[in-house]
Amino acid sequence: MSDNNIDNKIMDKILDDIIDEAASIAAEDLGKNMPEPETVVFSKEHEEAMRKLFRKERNKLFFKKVSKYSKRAAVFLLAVIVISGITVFSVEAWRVRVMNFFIEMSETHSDIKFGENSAKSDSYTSDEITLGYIPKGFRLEKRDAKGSMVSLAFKGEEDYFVFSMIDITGSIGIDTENASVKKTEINGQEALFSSNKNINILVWHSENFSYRLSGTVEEDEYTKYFERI
Amino acid sequence: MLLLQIGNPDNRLKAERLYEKYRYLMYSEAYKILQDERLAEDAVQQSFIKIINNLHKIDENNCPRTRNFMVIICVNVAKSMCKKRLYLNKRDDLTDDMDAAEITDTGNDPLDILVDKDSVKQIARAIEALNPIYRDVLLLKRAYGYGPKEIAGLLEIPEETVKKRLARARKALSRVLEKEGII
Repeated sequence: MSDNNIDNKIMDKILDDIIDEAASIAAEDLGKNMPEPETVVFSKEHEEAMRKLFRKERNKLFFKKVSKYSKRAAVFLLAVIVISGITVFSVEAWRVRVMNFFIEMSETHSDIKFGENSAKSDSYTSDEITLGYIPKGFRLEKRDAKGSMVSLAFKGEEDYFVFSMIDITGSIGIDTENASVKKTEINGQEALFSSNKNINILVWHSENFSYRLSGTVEEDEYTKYFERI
Repeated sequence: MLLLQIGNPDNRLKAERLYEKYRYLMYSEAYKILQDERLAEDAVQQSFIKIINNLHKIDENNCPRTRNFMVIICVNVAKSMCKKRLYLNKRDDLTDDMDAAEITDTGNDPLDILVDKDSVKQIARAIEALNPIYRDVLLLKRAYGYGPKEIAGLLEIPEETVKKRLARARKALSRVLEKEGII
């Protein structure tokens, strides 16, 4: 590009800027210098025509606003659905991650958390919780409810087990030191089975609660309990 | 929330408020051109039909600027009606040629105004002295921010004519500024 062209462009820009500024002043001056008009009595036809024009425009504006807010409401609803979906998905993903983490760290870890950010359930009593399956020869020894955690202790002739249930936001502690830990599955959900010195522990969770069975009962029996909670 | 916003009693149309404020002025300017009460009323109505959807760039609080805008539109509507009435609605290019001849024939040559002055205010006066045919499109674009297409709609002239007038107005002002040594 030649210097001459650059100069012309600069000059054009300067001229445009000057005109812009001057035009605003001119518009203001022209408005100021207009004489004050006399009051006029408009014809009824004119006033009616103007009313009609504004009414039509107001209606147009009304429907435009209705349409606009309807769209916003729809977007809001969609956002709520999406966010809810994401939350459920995230909690689920988080649980799986925690489970996986636990298995990897099972030699030293002894505490499982299922979701601190989840909505906390109301507290409940031990009377509200029953097991659908109790092995033959076992009887309920003790019921205990504390906040959102319920424990039921069962005792057989030689064996025992304790069933604990806690809100998904709570944590379950298990001793995994020197324990044999493996992943298993209950009702399609990932579960964790730990065995150490004849004490077997099974940890599992549903959507709102996490469960633990600990005792001397075999793994197969544990699975039956959970499947029938 | 929707009902609250829509049902706001103070939610009158901007156009309605402007009508209340400037109807007499618009009528008076239209009447000067048309010399007929009913036609002047028609000019006010037609002006509002044109501007009702083009008020987003108009600041209600700036009275002189807004007042000038309302008058520009109304006067152009009145002129257009007058031309139609007198069967002077010639082809646009022909009209523009006539306009071009008028640019140095207004009796208020911008060059004279700028003889001893070089500030933006004096250039503003030069703009004010331009033939209204050029001045109106220039102000609508430069002072009010409307594009050629919008101006064409507001003044009922082809977009091409708007561009021609803008170019001629600019050229005229450029000559003034060059002569004064400002650019």
